[in-house]
Amino acid sequence: MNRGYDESRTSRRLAWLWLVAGIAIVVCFARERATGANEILIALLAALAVFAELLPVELPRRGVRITFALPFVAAVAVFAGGFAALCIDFLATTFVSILTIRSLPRSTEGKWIAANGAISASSAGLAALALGLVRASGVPTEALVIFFIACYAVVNLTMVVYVEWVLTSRWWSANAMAMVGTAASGFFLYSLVGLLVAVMMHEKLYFAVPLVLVPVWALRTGLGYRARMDEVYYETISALSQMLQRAHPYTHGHLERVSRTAEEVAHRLGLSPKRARLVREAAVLHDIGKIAVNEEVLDKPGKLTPEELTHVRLHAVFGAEILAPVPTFSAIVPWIRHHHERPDGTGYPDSLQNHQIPIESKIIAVVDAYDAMIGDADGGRSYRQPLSEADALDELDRCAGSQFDHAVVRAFRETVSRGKR
Amino acid sequence: MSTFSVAVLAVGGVSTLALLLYVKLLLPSKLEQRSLESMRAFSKAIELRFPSHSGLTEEVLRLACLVADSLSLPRADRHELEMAIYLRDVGLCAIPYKLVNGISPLKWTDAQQATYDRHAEVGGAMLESVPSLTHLADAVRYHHMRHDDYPKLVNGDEFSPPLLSEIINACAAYVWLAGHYGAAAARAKVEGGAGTDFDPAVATALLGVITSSRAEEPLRPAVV
Repeated sequence: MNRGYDESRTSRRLAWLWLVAGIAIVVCFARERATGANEILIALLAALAVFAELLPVELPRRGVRITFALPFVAAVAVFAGGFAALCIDFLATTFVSILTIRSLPRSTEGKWIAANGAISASSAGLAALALGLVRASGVPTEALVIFFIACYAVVNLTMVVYVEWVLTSRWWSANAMAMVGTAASGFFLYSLVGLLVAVMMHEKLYFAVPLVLVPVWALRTGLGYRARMDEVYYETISALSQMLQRAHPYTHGHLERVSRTAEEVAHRLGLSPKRARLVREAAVLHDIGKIAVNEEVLDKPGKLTPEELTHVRLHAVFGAEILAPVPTFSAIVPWIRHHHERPDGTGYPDSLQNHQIPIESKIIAVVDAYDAMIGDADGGRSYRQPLSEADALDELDRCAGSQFDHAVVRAFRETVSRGKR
Repeated sequence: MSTFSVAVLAVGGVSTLALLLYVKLLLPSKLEQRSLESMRAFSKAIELRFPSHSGLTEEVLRLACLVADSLSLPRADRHELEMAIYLRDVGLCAIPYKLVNGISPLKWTDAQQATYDRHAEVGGAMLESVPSLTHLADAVRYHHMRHDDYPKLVNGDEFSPPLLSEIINACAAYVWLAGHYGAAAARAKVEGGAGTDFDPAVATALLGVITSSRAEEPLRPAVV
């Protein structure tokens, strides 16, 4: 039963041999080729590159893992030659891929290692070639290091996007802005660290080069904290919705459907991706105030008395009050308070006029109403039959302008019809 | 050494130092603060569902922090204690609305009391399903457990009662009793319950705290 585990452990142990052998080959080769390069120094840079590759910095919620081997590889390229840099980058990447293989299903292990190795060899190789072209023109070594990093980054990013397209057939335009942002900040950080390494090498302050790992480590720790803050945020949302589920069970899937669709509609209405994401989270929490509402009244079949209706309607106010003490929810608090307002001014709790109602609240109102009409979103409480999708859309159209916002209903219709195709 | 090199090294050194300070000093307390703030949503939800509970959390929190001080609880445990106090009653969301809002707890039948008592177990189970809060599940699950009931929990295994739930148990009991029967009676109950209902060390610390703090900040009686 344990064979799979043993095999991968064996391959991880063998990887160390390959690493040592590889570094020996590179150092010997570079010694023959490079003039003035010190082999101990190359070995040091190689070791730092491997070590930095082993200290990945996870970017929160992007699934992006960046490692800081590149500045050291760039230093090797400039101070000991492109071939040595190529070998060290390839070895470090392959080595770390083999070590971190655990998390992957066995069938894809080989592909994963091969893809990583190929990307690294191509990036380092092409960057080294480009470096060779400008090297002769008397550019200072610091600039060369940054140039190498830039070339490496361009090739690497292109190939990563390509691999993602091959594996998931998702084209990069889906999260283009996020990609560009990540790449830009990544490049900035690499260049800073690379510049430091280059200056230290240039000034022969070799002993100080390993100190460069200190800010890298600090960055990694800092981003780790960021990730944990995000985790607190998302787990608070899921725990609150679990509380609601216990107080007043919804049909499974209602909140997921509503939140997913709400985000799509927000996109379609031209809200920024960040804001659309917030709409999704607000949609998960929009009925959170029902925790504080008597479940017997919520589940009562048939018409409610005026007192009961007033009590149930408090849920919008309660929802806002529950989230108000949490500063990270401050943006969505008003959206939740106003998700039962109507453009004709007869909604609750504040009878807002059309232009005063946040667009986010209008989105949630439409998506929630539609999902309630086509299914038994409230766990079979309601006494009426579910409508067909076409009838529900017609009903939304009929109420557009009075109960719902025209533009939101239009965007919702487009989202639904697009989802069917 | 060229001016450029000196400038680069100086900028590198200073920003590394700044980054280290930020990461080591600022971020940990910011994370703690964020977590605590998020927990307020849970206690707020329960206080809105059961208005008779409103204000209790703040009161329990105030006492428990003083007790933690007098027991010299480490900083990390103190943070967990505060988190657990905000979360202790999340399970109440599953307890019928009518039971708590319609009938005074003093008139509950045994069956009704048993229904209410389920909230600790429900809360513990809920926290267990939330990865970053799992470590608080036991503190919440046992926050109404009598001190001398802990040995009955285990079948031969060692089980040390979580100190956090002992603190919450004593402080919450005191606040509840003080609200229903007055501070003097509550005090007497804590004194009499040391070693049976409450952990003796926690009870002693709590008695010390209420003796010294009663004068400056009187307990607000809860509305029943």
